[in-house]
Amino acid sequence: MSTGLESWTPVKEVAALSPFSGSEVLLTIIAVVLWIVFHIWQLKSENNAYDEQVSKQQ
Amino acid sequence: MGYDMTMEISALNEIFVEFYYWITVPLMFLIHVGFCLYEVSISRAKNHMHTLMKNAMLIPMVTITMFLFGFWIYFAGQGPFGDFAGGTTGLPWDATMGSNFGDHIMGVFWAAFLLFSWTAASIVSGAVIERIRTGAFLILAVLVGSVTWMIDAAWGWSAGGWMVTDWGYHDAYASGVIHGICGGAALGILTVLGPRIGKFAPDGTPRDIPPQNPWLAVIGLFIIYTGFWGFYAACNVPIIEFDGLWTATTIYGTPTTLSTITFNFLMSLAGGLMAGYYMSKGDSFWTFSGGLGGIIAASAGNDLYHPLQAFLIGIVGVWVAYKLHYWVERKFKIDDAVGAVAVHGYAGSFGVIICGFMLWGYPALADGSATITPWGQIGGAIIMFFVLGFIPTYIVAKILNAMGILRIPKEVELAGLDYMDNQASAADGQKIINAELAERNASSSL
Repeated sequence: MSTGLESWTPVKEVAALSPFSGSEVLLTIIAVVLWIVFHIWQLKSENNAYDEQVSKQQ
Repeated sequence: MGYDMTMEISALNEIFVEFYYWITVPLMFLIHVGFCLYEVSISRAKNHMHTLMKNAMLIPMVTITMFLFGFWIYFAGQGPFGDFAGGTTGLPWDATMGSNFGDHIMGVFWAAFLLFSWTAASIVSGAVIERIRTGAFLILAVLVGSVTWMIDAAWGWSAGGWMVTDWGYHDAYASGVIHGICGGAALGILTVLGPRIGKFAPDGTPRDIPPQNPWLAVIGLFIIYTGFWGFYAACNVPIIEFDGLWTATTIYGTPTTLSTITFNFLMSLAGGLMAGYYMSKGDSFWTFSGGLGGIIAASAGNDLYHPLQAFLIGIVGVWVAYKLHYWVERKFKIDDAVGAVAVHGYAGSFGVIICGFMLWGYPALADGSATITPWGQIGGAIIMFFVLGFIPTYIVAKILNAMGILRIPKEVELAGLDYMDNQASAADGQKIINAELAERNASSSL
């Protein structure tokens, strides 16, 4: 059982070093979703914070 | 068995080049440290922490997007309308974009470009402090750091870019491809964002909003100078065989020497400092910004200028930037809090244009298939500052403004962006004082 490499020799035949090689497209999709969600979360949370501040100051 | 010395030298050369670029990355990291210090020091105390966090958070946002698509744009976009010349190179699932024994260097190249991207977004960040929303800024940071600057690098900062092959565009140390575009991008946002409250008197006269901590802002600029060495180093191929001669080359593959760029970096810095000091009558902010502006003005041709030419170009570039800054401020009511449009945009664009006259007729590529001309450089400066700089950020800022998410509410701007955090800290501090007093009273009553 191995998530990737089982031997370092012959080293010239080693290509990908990371585990679960072949999952790069899936990882990309996850990263794109996280990136977009972060922008949305930031905008919403900032909006709420400013609304709260404005209402406290009034 | 024979000893293959050629292969060993070739391996050593490859390792040296890998290590050389790798060292430029932590040096360039200092640019961001300097920008954060500078930007926070320019902001007023009531906005310090938000100013810092806005700049710091561009790091993850630009980094992830540079990995997802920014670096791919560089390889794919080397035709005028993006003919996807690079195929899958730079895409996140490409074998070179990961830990793979098939490629040892791509991650280091990516990091060098990424640190330029942080710088690009950070230049914009300073201009818009104390009134832009962090969420809006991060969208604009991705636009500049991972999209528009990567397009201009593909077009004008690569031996295969169409501006280089067709126009002979030359910009060895990025007067236009980093500084020109970012100055234009900052101006595009500022035009929509508007000035800080109180910046202009009712009759339109500009008021000075002094830095909260002038000497710390200057230290920030000093640190940016230091990081700029890494930037210059990263713009070179350090050692390569060129027509039988071992030498350094620019990113275009044209020869230069490390001696030349070392002379010229320092001489243009000196010229810029002198001009900034003279123009501002000794103001520390403009003197140190002038040093940066001097380097930026000479950067397009610092691979070939004589040191005294770099010195003089640094002086004239800062004079132009300083004059334009105050003219634009008065005429168009633009509040550029850190002078980013001037130091980067005007000095950088001037640098691109003057390079066309200074290096007129020089080969722009190693094989001599393109030639540097004033019109190629003027066209390049327009593309950098307006087409890829001003216009995209102006349009996106307009959209964000229409959605009501570009500028902070007036009440927040007046009270300060850190108001809520400061109130909470004060409340927590008071609770601790109360608890300590209660403890002391309990002890004394025993």
